[in-house]
Amino acid sequence: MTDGRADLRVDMQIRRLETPVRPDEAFVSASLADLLPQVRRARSRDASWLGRLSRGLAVTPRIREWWASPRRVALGGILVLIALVLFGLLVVIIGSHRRLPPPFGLAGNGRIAYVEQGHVDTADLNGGDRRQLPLGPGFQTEPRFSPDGTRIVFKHFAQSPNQGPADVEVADADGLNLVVVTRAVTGLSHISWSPDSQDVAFSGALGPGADHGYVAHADGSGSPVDLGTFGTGAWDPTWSSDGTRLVIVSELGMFVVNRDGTHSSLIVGGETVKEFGQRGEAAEWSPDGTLIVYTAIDLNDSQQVWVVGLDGLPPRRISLDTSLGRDATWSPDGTRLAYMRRGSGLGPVLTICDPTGRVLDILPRAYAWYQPIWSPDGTKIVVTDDRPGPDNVPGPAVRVIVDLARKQPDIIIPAPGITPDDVPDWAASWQRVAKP
Amino acid sequence: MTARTRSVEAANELQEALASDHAFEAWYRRTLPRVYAYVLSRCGNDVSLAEELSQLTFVAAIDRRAQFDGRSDIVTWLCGIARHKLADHFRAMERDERRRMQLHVREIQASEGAAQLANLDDRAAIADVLRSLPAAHRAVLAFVVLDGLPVADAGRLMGRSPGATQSLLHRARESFRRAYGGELGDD
Repeated sequence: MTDGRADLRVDMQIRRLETPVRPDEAFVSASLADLLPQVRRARSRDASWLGRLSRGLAVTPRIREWWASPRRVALGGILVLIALVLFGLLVVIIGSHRRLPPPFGLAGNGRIAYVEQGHVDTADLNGGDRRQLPLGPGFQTEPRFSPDGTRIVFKHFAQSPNQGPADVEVADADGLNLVVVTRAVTGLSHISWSPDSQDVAFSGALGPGADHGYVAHADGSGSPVDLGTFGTGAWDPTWSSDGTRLVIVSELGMFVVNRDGTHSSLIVGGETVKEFGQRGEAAEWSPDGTLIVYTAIDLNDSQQVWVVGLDGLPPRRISLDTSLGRDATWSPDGTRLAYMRRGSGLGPVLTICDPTGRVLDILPRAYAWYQPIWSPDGTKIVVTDDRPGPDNVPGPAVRVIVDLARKQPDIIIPAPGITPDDVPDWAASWQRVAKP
Repeated sequence: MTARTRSVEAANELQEALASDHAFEAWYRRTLPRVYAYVLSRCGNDVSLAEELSQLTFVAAIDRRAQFDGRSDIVTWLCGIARHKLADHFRAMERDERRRMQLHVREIQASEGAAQLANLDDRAAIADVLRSLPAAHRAVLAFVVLDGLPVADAGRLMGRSPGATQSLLHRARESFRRAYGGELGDD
């Protein structure tokens, strides 16, 4: 018999084993009992979205066929590797970019900028780590951080503080990369950042004549946009929360104007007001853009805080039951306002109220404070006190960080002017940073 | 009905079987006999081993349910799993045999019983002979002769090269022939 035939006969014999046969019923029952718990677990997993997804992918024939080739598996591995490398690079790039806070609303507390002896200093949120920014020679006043917290704008006087023409200058928040935005502005007002941190607004005269309002690019490019004089000369423009308009005042009243100087409209007439504004901004938009708060001295020489909308209704006074109210400013979330009101004989006290004027809190520990500035998280306020100490007598000015919850003691930052009278209008600026 | 439709329906059959305990029991009782018969014939009618491997096959099938795409009959897919279980079993046996150095002894014992088995010519005798063979011989006969796999595929299952598997198949047939006796030797 040949090998082939012998093999065939062997195979035929072996194949005779393939006959229908039924397993023992006892085995069937026992194995079924063992399998059912596993079936239930599988059913539960399949009901989850992950189970449905993996099952859907696995039973797709094209996907299975594609992965059946070792070459394709290798290719897939390489692609995964490349994707991982790209993902890693992306993480590094994103990580190297600083997270920025929104222009309005609550944010994290960064550093505090203030002026000491004619120069811009910054301190950490607890008043420590104080350092002077390297902004060059001359004198700087009224620093303000941009809404995104990355830059700082200030007034630069070449000869002496607050005297003569000043330059509008912008630097990084650490004082580097200084840019001159506009040179030699006579009567330069405070400087207001646009919500997108790209432009600044100010008032003053770039030549002979009345003061104009201006909008300029913060990087120094281009020429400032002239908003006009609004009659006899404008001062203290501030941005609306959407960055499309500004509020600006003159002796004729308070106006709202588009950022390109068009479509100005009078919202508060000047016939009943001797002067708008006090120590800083003439007015301030609420974070939601619906209300404007301002300080004004009426014909009876009474200085009070008012709120007006753009709906044509008359202004509402919110500094209630006091002979003095000034320096009002919105909390970052727009639910409260802080302002100074006359205290019990020694000077104004820091007052917190709601937008209707209802007083929520008064912090009467020190007097002669002014220009309250909210911390970006809305829990603290920094003010200037030029009569520090329990005796309430004039002395070297300080900045005071006040905890509104009264859980922490006041933090005192020494910030004297060059002379006792040299106290800047703008107490401080608190840097907004992304929430941790 | 298209092939695609059939695939989906077959895949659905497994999903429906897992949808409830009752459905699973019905499906299990319908498919188990064919899987069990497949395994039993390939492990020399060793009932307990066939039961164990059948059970392992269904456990693995439930675990790998997502891999069943419905392109084959569900029992064919189950038998494919069972084949791997058999291969695992044979590999384990082979390792055990090597460890105990019993391979040669068992072959001799099988040969000694060949005279009695030669004329029986029944399936029990065939099964006994098959069971008496070394694990590697049983495996290659099961995969090539019973499953009809190409030698290379059987070798892949057993972790051997095609040449080594061909040589093993030759020796396995010789072992079976010698153990089964004269009927296969005379012509």
